[in-house]
Amino acid sequence: VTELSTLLLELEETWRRKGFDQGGCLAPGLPPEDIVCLLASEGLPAPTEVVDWFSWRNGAIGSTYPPGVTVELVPARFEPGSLAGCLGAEFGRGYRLELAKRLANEFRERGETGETSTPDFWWRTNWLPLMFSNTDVLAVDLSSGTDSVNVLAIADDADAFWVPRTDSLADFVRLLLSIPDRLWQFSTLENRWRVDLRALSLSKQNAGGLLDLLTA
Amino acid sequence: VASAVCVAPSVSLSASATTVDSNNPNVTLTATLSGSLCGGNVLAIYNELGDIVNARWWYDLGGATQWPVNTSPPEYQTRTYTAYVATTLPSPGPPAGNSSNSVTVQHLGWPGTVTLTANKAQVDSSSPTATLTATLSRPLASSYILSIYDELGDKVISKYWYEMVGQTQLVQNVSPPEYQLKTYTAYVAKNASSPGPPTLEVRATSEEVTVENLGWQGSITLSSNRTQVDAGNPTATLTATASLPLPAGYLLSIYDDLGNKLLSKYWYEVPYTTRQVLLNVNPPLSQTRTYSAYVARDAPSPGPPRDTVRATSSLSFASGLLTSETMEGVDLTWLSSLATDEEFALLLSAAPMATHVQGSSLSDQTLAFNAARAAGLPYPKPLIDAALAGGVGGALLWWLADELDGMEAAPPAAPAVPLPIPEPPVITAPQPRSGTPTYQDELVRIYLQRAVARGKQMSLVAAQAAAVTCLTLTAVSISHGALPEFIDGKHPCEALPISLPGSSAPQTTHADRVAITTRNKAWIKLTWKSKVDRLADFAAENLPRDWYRAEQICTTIPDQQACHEYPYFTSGQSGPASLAGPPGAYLEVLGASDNSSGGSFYRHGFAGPCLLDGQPDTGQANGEAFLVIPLDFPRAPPSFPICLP
Repeated sequence: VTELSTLLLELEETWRRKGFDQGGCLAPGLPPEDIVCLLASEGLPAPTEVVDWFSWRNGAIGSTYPPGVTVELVPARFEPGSLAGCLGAEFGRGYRLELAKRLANEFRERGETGETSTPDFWWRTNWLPLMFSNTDVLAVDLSSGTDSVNVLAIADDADAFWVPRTDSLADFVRLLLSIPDRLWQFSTLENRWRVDLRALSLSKQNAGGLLDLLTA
Repeated sequence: VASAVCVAPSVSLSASATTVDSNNPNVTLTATLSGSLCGGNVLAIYNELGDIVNARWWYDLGGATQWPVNTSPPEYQTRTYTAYVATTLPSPGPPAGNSSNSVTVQHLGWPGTVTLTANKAQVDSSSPTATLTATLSRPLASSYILSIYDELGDKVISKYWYEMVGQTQLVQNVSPPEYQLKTYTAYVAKNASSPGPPTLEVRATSEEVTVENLGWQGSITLSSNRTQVDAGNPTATLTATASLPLPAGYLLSIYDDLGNKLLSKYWYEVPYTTRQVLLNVNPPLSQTRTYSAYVARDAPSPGPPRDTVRATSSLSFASGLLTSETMEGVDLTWLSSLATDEEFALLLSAAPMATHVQGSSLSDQTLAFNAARAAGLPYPKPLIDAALAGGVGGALLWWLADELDGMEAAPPAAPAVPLPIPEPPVITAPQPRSGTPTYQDELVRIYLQRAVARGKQMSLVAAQAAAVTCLTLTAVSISHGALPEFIDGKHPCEALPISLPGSSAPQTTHADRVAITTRNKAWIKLTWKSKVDRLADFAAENLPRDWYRAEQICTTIPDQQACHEYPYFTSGQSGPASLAGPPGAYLEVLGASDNSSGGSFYRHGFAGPCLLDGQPDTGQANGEAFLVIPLDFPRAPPSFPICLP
């Protein structure tokens, strides 16, 4: 049992304790060998943390959720994707690679010759999206060559989105677990659990990246 | 007599290959028996799923001890096969009895690649066709389709595998519409739907290839065989010469300044080699008369042409005397008087649109100018030759005129009454320069120079579209008191950097224009706020980044769609009314890819170079004001920025 697996189970337990059943909206995990095989079919490595992630839960169940239920791992409606969805051309890695080519092309056409004119600026082949919110993505970088993966927050209007927000998925889950229970509130207006952002430290340094992740 | 008891033979299994692919999908499994089958025995091959691959009863097999069976695993799957000597054929299996070793065969599918090339990246109206070649690394396998699509998902061509037997190349001519850039991609898949691109078992996707149609790149000149007419010689012969053959659908016409059409010729009526038409005119001896030649898609009566005017030149006679020659609206007679030979030669090399195709340190335009002067040709012929060199034409003359005229036209006065929301200006072709420099002309020159200062090329059409649209939209906002008439003593179109979302993200661009013109006319001017600082503003009000999900229009966002917000999030005006004040940001659900393109242009295409100087955003540009001028019309230029010097 790896550190990430333990933390993910703890996260589910925390959800239950708080009274919202996110786990019920998530699909069962995949067999590790399937995860390795699927990633390999795209020419991608399979770091242990990514295998742990998808063996835990394989994204949200379906694309339409039960009425009144929101599926979010991070309180900005970052909905987790299935491995097939995260890899695919509809909204996953395949889509992002195509979008990156298009954006690089657009920037080249308007005469830019810097990094924005290369697809790598917009999306790198070793990045794998895990969670989605509108056009924003939380992704992992599979190129580390180690068991753990950097977590990236990628948004059209973001600055250097290749700079890791956390050094591992375990750190990412640890950040979620560090949100004190008292900050979680149920928004009847939005019908979802939210973190009271006012209670978080607004200091960029002290927030330790949490604010970015919560609101990326 | 006791009969001998038949003992079921043992069996082994071998495969002719451990991998197959879609081009060669079959594998031969060979079951080998240690002896003949007994009566009542069956030799069967099963896969690991319990499916029977094939079976032979003892009476079918005779005394044979080897039995070859052809099979194929499903594409991209692996199957493990085992042979059995049994007495029953259960389904699913396997049966009870002697079993063989297992052999595993993997189907690699169609492991090929496809590349796409174009024989040229740019075409123009004279030569509008490029040839795309899709090349396969191996022939198509059964049931696959090779297709080419454009960026809109329109299918250019597709070929089924049976149409490409023994071939690995598909060649197709394409002709992008004038002034448009098309992007093509080739696919190998099991469908070729319309609209595309293919979605079913896509096995290979090429790199994108772009082909741009630069439109008609020619100019027109108008000359007279006489510089003066009088009662004795009242007729002048005008010669209109197009620098390139006219494209199909265009007319060459000559009008006078009263709107009378004096001549019009369809493209097929203009000689291909000389590209010249002649017209005799009798200019009035006591009046001024101007004759103008046009290359355009129409030739109405009365004139002048309006549809897709590509080039224009004019001559004016005052009391029979030739007084001015103009090209693309620039008075060449007047321009000729503004500088010496040396000054023109220098300027023609310093011009931002100057070309160096001939490899000289002097520009192609300077070389053409010098050659005309050396040949003793009088003005304005050397300037005409310079403008024709490299096809830079109108943009070069505009630049020279604005460099030399020393005039500054005043910005338009603020409208006295609130203006209605205008139809979007449509600028898709170079507009003739007006006789007297206007502030709009001034802006065009300023925008062209600002682009050059950043080391970028900006087309005359883009600069004109920016100037016209900026003046039109700011006039509305100014007339409603939503934008100051002057900022730092200058018109807003000159005083502020401008983000010009255009055809790169048409849905987002349209939403931005709707937001500015119908929701809050003050939103034509925004102020920058770094993402981190704006997040903090939101957090202080307990608003999440995805605040819009609480708004009805964006509660549910369909797949491949996104919620677009205007004013943009990284601005001081973003967010709901509770944060930014009424009316609260305009929201619209539109294509996710379009929205990403729009957002990326705003942050990295506009703010990066114009506000942040290419540096990381640490809040250094917070509060800096800029204009957003959406170019929301058909065939608008792609999004581009205009930065302050």
